[in-house]
Amino acid sequence: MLLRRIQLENFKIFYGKNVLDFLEGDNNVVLIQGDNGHGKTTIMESIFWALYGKERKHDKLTNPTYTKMINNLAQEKGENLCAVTLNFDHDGKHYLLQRTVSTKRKTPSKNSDYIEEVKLRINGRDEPDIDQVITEIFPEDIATFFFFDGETISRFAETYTDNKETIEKALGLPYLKRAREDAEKIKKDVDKTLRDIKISPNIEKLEKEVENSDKKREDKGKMLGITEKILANLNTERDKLQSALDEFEELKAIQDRINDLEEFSQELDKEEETHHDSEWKFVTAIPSLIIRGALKKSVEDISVVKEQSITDRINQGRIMDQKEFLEHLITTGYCLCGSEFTQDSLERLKTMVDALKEQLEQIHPVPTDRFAWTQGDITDAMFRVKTLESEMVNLPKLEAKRDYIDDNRKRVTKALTHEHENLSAHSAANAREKEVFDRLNKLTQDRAVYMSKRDELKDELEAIERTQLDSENQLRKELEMQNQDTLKLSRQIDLIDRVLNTFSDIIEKSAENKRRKIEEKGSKIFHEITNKPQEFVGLDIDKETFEVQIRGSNGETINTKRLSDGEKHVVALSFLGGIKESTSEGSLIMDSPFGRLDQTHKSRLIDRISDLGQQVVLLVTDEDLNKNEIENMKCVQSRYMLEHDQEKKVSRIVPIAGAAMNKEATNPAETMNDPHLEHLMTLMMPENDDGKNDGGPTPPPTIDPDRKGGA
Amino acid sequence: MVKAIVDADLLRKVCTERGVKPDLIRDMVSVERNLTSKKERGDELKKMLEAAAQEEFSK
Repeated sequence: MLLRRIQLENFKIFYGKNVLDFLEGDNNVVLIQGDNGHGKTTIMESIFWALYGKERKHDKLTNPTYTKMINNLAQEKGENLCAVTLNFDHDGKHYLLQRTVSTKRKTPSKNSDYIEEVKLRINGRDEPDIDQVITEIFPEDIATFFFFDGETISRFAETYTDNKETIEKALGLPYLKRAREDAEKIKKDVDKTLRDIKISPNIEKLEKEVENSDKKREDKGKMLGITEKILANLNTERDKLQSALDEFEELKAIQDRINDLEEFSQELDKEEETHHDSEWKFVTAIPSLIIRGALKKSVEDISVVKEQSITDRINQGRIMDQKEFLEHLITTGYCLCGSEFTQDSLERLKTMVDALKEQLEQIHPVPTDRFAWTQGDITDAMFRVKTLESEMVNLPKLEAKRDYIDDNRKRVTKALTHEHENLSAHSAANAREKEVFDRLNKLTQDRAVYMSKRDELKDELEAIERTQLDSENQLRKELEMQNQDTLKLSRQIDLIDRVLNTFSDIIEKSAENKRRKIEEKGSKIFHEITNKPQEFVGLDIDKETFEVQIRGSNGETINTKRLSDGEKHVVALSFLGGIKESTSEGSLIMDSPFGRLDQTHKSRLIDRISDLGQQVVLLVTDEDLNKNEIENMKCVQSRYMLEHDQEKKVSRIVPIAGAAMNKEATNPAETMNDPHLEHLMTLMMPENDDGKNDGGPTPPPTIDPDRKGGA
Repeated sequence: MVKAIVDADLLRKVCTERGVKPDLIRDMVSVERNLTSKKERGDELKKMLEAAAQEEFSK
């Protein structure tokens, strides 16, 4: 930032419009002279207020007191407005910043009775976000390093312990550290959100299920592995035993024969079972065969009786019909022809009826159903007998089969007994064979058990895998639902981690880089100003504490406590200059910077003053700089005197004629088109020949440089 | 007037090493400088980081 104009209007001690112009050109020093209490510090304060709306007290910025801001004389004259307007260039743009305070009522007594307004134009266009723009180009925290006074220098000269904080502030490290802290906080929040998502009850439950399934699978897998291993061992052993057994051929032959005989015996069992049925049929039919002659006679007799019974029953019915007919005729007393019977006829009819009754009494038919039952049984028996008789031809075959079965049974039983005796005898004779054989049997049983166990385990394992697959599918679905959020948050955490690392690196490296630069620039200034350039070669700023010491010609460090007040002042000034040069470019405004310097140091500083900044504004008293020193100062572009009216207690800024001016200097300052200011400018501006004000920034009249006091 | 808080070359170098866009760091520092409210800063930085993470993913 390079100042082009400072315009004070009724600001504090300055009545009316007062202008400080800063010109472009090679000469970069502006000298403002004034006794104590004539407004040097007010000029510094006006800049702070215009930029930040705050007052500066002891290196700190505080809220302003408006009641003391508007010039008393102006208030008496009814001008209830004060303003500070800064014209400055920065980064190729022209800025016009104006801050005003005006009263809301006739007799203001407190801050709320005032209105403060601020306007900013950049290249002639209004800028709404004023605070942000100002903060960007000129943050409050480091204003101390651009506008400092003897008090600041003295403080730095005495308390180097604050250097670390000061330097960090100048470097903007608090912003970086705070950004890192805020990012860490955000990371914690995001991390918590991510954890909350991950431990949602459903997912937790499913994850547990999958985990349990994993464990079960592992356990079962181990058991299956052990079982498989046992089975493999059993198989191996069985193969070996089998091989061993194969060597015992005789034993094997006996065993084979036994097996064959047992198999044949089983076949005989089946044949015998079938044959037994056929034999039983003959056995049950034998009684019928024995009585088959009697049965035949019985059937013939029953047939005769049955025929007689039928004849009897027929006769019985016919006689009963005749008897009933005659009894009917007797009862009616008339013949079928209609003639009445005679007594005789009736007697003969009665005789006939009696005869018929005698015949009926002689007839006794046998019940036919009884014959039918008996006849059925006998017929049945006869049928079986007949069947049996037809099958009698097979009887020899049945008998032959029975003989065959019985014979073979005997032989098989005999052979088996023989072979078992053989086997026992053989086994008893060969313990090893028996042992192998027993072992093989036992092993076969064990193998069956383990195979069964293995199958069970496989089934269980499949069931667990199915359950686990279900759980995993559900978990996958749940996770897919939350995947988007999780992924998003994970990406944020990843980025924040990188950002945190970036800030850490920047803070560390930036601090070191800046420390080196401050040391380098400060050393240069110090070496040029110190009256012991052979002894003191520069400043040494500690890497950890940022404590400033002097570096001696032999490379040794010298504690500043050993220095005189003047030397400490030079160190502080060099240090501040180094910070300023390392952190900013443009204007440097110093209020009474020569305070404790002895004449030698002061002369050396005056010689180098123009090198301290692109634009250097010096606020000094006559005691700070004498006439010769002012005259001999290099690169002075303009000088101003702060004139003070003791009676009215107001000051005004007056250019001093004869100061070294750059002939080709130009002033691009513009004015704010504000009604209040225009009004003030009309009041303050000298009139033209035609009696009208042109509205432009006409410089005030110049005064003699040696003149002091009243306006 | 004020030189950048972070030297541009240093910022570029560190950001390249860490895989972060320099503009993100600049914007975050700008938020820190311009906002005094902790909550406002937190909200603004969170938005920036979310947007930057999303932008990285979109590429």
